Amino acid sequence: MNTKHLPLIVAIALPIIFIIALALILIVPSSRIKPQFDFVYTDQSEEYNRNYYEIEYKNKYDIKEGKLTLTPIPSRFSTRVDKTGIEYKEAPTLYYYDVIENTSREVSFADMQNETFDAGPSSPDGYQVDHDYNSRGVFELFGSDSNSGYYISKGRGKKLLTGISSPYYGGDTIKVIGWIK
Amino acid sequence: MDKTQILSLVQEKIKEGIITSDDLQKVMHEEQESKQAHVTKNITNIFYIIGALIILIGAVILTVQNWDDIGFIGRVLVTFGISLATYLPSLFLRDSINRILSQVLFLVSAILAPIGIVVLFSEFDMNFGSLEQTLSAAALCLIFSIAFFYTKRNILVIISMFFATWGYYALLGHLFSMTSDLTKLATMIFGVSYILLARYYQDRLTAVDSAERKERRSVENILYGIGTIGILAPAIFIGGIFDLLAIALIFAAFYASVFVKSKAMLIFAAIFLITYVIKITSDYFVNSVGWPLALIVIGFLIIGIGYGTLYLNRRYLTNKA
Repeated sequence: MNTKHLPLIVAIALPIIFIIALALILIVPSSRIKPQFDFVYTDQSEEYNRNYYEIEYKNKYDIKEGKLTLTPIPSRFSTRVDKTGIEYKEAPTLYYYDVIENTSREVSFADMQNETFDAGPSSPDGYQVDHDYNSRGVFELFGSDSNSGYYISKGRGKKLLTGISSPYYGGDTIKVIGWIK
Repeated sequence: MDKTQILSLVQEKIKEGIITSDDLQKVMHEEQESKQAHVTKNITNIFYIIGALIILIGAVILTVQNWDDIGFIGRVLVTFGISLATYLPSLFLRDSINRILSQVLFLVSAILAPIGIVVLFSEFDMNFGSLEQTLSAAALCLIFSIAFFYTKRNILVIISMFFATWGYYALLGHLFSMTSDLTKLATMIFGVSYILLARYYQDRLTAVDSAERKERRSVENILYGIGTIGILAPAIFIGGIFDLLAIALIFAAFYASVFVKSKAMLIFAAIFLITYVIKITSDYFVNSVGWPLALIVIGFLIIGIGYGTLYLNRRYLTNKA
């Protein structure tokens, strides 16, 4: 075998093999992300609202015996000292996430009364939803497009939930209430 | 053979009548002419480089100051136009007398081409994201690699590798969410590629004259140097198992520097060994022995590394032509 061009061939092949290996390790598990269970969530956590916005919720959502329920929040949990100008609401806005269509829509508490839920935090098929700063690029260079947002993940694979937008920088403000069985 | 031996040999040949005083005068005269020609050539080369700098500065000022006035065509002509106007003639300046001129023109072309691409994307209000950067860098790498295979100009190796590096990182950035450790690993892989390329370049190409030989040595050293930095810098800072692997890589670099006769690799291996000693001392030994004693030990180790590097350089590398 003629080996005189071997260093050149290896020099070119090595980065290509590295990229292919990374793709197999990182992209393939993500392509296998196929969640089956939809979930409901609120767009901001009760704790965050109570401490930083002039909104206080009287109730929060819970899953009891597989059903969506409203549980009153005791007012003493509020850390706000100045109580003036606070808007009181029954409960946070509820959203339904369709994992197949990758879309989100607002729903009412009444709409969800016939559904059976799994409280989680993981879905019955092992998926969970987290916020991630999936900033693409190297050393913050070579492309500044960022994929920060909410991801549904299982093991090493994850998929961006395009139906949920990040409400603010640094936000971990959605709260998954339960997975619909 | 030293100077005295040479002079006595010449004297002997004069006595024998093989060499005459005319021959000696002729040799002296030719040498003087050659020196004068060399000075003239150097001055010409300096003019080429100054000219190239003026072109680049002019193009940048023209574009920035008159961005709105020169219009789309003007902006593209100043960047892409000059890039093409310097690239094409350089392809045909293949004789050795135009070696510096063609390389300066290639450099002007390589600097203006990516600026031209950015201008073009901006004109069409298109995002110059990671995918666009990958494709642009790949195209430029291909264009300048073709020029290298056609003209064998040394600067084109550096230019092509610059665009290849840009394309590599842009592609990684496009495809993956690059963590710090993944970036370091990717850099190490590319460092290996640089070293292999330097090795291939060293083995395969023969220089026409001593000036070109010197130029090729510089390119080899640049490739070896970047490759060594690419491997050792991330290896030292990844941590964990790489704390052990890094020292093996550093000594491998010392060995390889002698094997491939690269001063750049030797110098960077020494620099990274010093960095490694400081890092490991601060990470693992400072708490037990304290900074003052650690500094004394580090000081002695640095002196030792310096001496060892100088020894390797004198013993194995300085005789290299």
